[in-house]
Amino acid sequence: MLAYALRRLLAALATLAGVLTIVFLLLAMAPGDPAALAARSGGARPAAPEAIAAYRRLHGLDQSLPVRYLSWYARALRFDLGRSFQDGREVRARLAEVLPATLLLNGCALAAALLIAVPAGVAAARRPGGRFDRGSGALFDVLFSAPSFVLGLLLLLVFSGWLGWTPFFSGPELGFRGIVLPVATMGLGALAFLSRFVRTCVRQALEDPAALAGRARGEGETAAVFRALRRSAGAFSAFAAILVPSLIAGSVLVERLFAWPGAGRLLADGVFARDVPVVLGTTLASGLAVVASSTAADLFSAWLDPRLGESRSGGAREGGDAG
Amino acid sequence: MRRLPGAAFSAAAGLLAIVLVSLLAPLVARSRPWVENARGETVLAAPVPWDPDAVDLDERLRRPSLVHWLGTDELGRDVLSRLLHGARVSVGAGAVASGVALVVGSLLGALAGLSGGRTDRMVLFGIEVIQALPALVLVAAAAAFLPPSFLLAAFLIGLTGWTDSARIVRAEARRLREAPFVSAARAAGAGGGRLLFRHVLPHALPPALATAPYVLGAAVLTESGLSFLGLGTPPPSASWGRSLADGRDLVLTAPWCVIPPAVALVLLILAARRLGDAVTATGRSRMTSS
Amino acid sequence: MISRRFLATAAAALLFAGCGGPKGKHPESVVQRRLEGEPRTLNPILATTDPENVVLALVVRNLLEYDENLKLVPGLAERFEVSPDLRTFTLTLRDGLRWEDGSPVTSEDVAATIRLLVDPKTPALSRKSYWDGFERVEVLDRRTARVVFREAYAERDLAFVLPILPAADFVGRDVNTNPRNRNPLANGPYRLARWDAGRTLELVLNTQYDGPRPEPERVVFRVVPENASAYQALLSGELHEMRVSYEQKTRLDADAGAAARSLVFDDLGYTYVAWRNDFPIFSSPKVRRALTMLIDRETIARTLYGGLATPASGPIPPGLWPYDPSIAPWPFDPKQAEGLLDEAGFRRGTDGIRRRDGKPFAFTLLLGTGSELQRQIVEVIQQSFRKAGIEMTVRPMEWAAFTAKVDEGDYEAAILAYSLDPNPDLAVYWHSSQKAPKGWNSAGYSNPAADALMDRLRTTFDRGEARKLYGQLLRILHEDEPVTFLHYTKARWGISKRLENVRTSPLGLFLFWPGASAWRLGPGHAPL
Repeated sequence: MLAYALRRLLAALATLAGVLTIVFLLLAMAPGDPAALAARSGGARPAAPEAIAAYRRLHGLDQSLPVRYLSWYARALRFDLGRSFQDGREVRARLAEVLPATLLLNGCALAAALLIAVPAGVAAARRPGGRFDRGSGALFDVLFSAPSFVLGLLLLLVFSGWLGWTPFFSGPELGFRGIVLPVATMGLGALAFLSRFVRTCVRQALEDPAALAGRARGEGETAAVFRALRRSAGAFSAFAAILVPSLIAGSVLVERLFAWPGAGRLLADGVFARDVPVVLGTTLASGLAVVASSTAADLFSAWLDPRLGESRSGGAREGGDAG
Repeated sequence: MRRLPGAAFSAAAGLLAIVLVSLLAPLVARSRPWVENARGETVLAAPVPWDPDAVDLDERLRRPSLVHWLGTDELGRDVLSRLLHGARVSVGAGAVASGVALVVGSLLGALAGLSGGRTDRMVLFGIEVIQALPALVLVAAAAAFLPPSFLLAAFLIGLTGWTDSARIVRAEARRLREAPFVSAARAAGAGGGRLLFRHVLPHALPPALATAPYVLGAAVLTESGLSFLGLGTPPPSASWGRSLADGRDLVLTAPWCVIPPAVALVLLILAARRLGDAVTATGRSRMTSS
Repeated sequence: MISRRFLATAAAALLFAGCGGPKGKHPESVVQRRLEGEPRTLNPILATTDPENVVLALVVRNLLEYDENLKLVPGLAERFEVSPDLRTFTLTLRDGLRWEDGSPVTSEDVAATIRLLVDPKTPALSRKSYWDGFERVEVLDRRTARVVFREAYAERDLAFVLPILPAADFVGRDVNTNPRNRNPLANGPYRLARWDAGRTLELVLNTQYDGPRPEPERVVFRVVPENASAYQALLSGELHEMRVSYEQKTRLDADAGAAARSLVFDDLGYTYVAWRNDFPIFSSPKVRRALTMLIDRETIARTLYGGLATPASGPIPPGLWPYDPSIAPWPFDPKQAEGLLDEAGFRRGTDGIRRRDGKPFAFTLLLGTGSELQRQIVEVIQQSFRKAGIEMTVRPMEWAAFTAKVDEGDYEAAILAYSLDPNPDLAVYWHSSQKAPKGWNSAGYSNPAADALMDRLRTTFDRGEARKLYGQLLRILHEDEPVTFLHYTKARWGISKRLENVRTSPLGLFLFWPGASAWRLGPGHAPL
């Protein structure tokens, strides 16, 4: 167990270091100079060279790439993610502003989508090709294909503009009314592949010889479905490892549309302004989420099916591994 | 063999129609006539007699009519003509992106799940790195070095999208590795390749296949975004994603610019979904019959 | 089953929410304003972008202010004297000026602000260029300061459209991490009451302000990055002002029931297509003129701009005093243009493509992301050129990469837009010493006659004389057509029908005096 935990921790650190290095190098390669961009935002005439030089010195842009790279790490180890090139504020503070709002929005969207998609997927799997299967499939496909911008704008127009039920400017402090539109916009688009995934897994498990045998034993349909869900738990946990990190990522379009201060906008603005500290900080946050959910998924499936463990060669068992 | 012919047939027919449209667009929708007589008079014209790129500002945002069956866009271009011509870019980009994602993802995932140990850790490292990497950073850097083309854009989408199917297939393969029938096959002396393709993938693929249509759909939508960041097809060439993006501000005033590409996208996803079902069903019937 | 129950709950919650009604009537007078982005700082010396400047315009006054006709008028300074050699400026502050905490605004504050501004450690990106050649600042008495420059410059007085920082908070402290950067000390009609990062800023009346008290008691700024959603809020009266797109302006005019109306006026913007002058195909003025004449700017203005633009004749828009209406823009004349191209040696081959010495007339135009309108214009131009046998490839680029290419002069053609300030000095854009990558003459234009005129204008203080010189300069630029001047554009705003006394200037609605501080919020019809 300890060996596993240690190995997993090392792997996680390697992943984080790898991602951060790649992001740093890509940003360095991408054309565009943060100082020149900031100078251009000043409008009508070119900034004085001394002002640009001051800006460079202030943000350490006068140093070489390796120095900037290493000093970022040196500070990050002390939990200091540096200051944004755009507004000079601490990246930590900016993350603390956007991450809770992003988690709330994405978490609600995912939860709402699952509440609809799982039952719909199960129902579709029970009568594949049936009316519900085809109807829900087509409806969800339409919702998926409507660009989230269009979907969100229509919701805004109807519920905020015509009916006046929801505010124009969403915000967690307004409670349900303040969050329902962005949640719906994000959740509705996700229904298609969530329900589709559930449907496929359940159907596969239902058609498994074991399930057929169960039915022969006189097992009820509900019991069969629950067995099927349990049998697909491995696939579900893998799916969760895909979905959970996206909770932090945020969606620029939806956040813009509903004036929601989220991580998606922070990252996009950061990339477009070549704001290295902000991009590295958000990458670190999303990297942690990826590593954590990935580890959790593996542990979970090992717990479900102890045979998996961390066996080295096919067939060998290391039962207690994940317990 | 239950239900197979119907599903497979409708899927194949749907996809074939879309592919045909995308290949024939230059013939069907163009301003030059098919056949002229000796005096230069048009004998046989294309059914959609509009060049997809021909701008006419005095004819902009016209409603659908007998002249322009689906209306005109914000530059007075024929929406139908652009829809037909856009099919090639969009279907191509979608197919390449989801194909790359699915093939790379399932092979790596199955390999990781089956062999475990170091291979598994390497693949997992790759998955996690790609998953944590903000795609926007990759695009911003790539745009500077790669020439703009929709195939490159599609390839890039595929290369960042393979992780989903890899994760799903890996989880299934890990489960199957210990399944009785796989152990039996292994005991009977089945080699790695045979194990992978005959016994593991047919079971592990369906869940990954279930998400493939949406990888395809997302690729069609993303292609337009990439073209604005300098990676996809540049103007004036049409694509569904671009029509959707360009029509963003017109949703409420000129919905005819936005609805056709959206409907086309739904049809494409629907067809791809059908195809996935058919493939799954084929695999299953093969397995039960073997 | 579960899904049905969930839907029922959701519907019930929605209905319940509807009963409460989100909009109570505002008991006090509150102006609801829109910010397109989050201000990066509220230090008026460091501020660069629009969201920062429009908030600060209500919070801090400048020593001198622009009025709505871009004339300089007294602000914090009641007297402003210029020495005959135009190097020495003496300012006298108004009596009784106070900061929001009650302490007096003194000439020490003025001196400290100027010293901070010229400090090499201060990244004052948009202000520093006016302080080139600064020599010293002296405090003469509590209300009077004297500023001396090493050399004279015709537009130097514009440097004194300058906000002031409190010396007590800034002297001896790091300007970049100063807490005042996010909590400015007001000397204007409003003060900052709350800043909810990424969402809202709230201003309330500054009781220490000695000038006329604005009628609205509060001003709430909302960060709404998306134009489409801001527009919906404008229609129903939740926002009182926003910059609208051309398309939204047309829709607003057609919507009689909307809570807002449109407002259109000349500003200092123009768009152009830059041709790299040192690129062989663009090196001749004849060819550049031909390219301009191939573009139907009248039709573009009528359709894409909804009539809110006019073909441009040169780099000075009508809102600036040197503008010369006697110079007519090049006409749309494809025939004459094709003749000019033939003359320049670009002849059509059998395939219709123009070639000179076997090389086709083909190039790549860079298009920066962000402007849907520019994208449309470029696609129109592309088709016009194709008809004339010119192959123009469009390369869209992310904004950061685009500006990098333009700043370095590393492109063949690019579509760009300027929003000028009241300084008409053209040297930074067109002087040959300012060629990219050093300066903003990114087209690489060079004409000794034009250079000489721009040099003379730097030190020509007499308006009449300057007007004559500008006339000559503009004519040279028009003949040379270093770039294709596309359109002078107009500002478009949607403003609430409740707003009264809204004045406009070429600088927009806010960045002049009294700007938004003169607004009144009439009863109008309450939001729906």
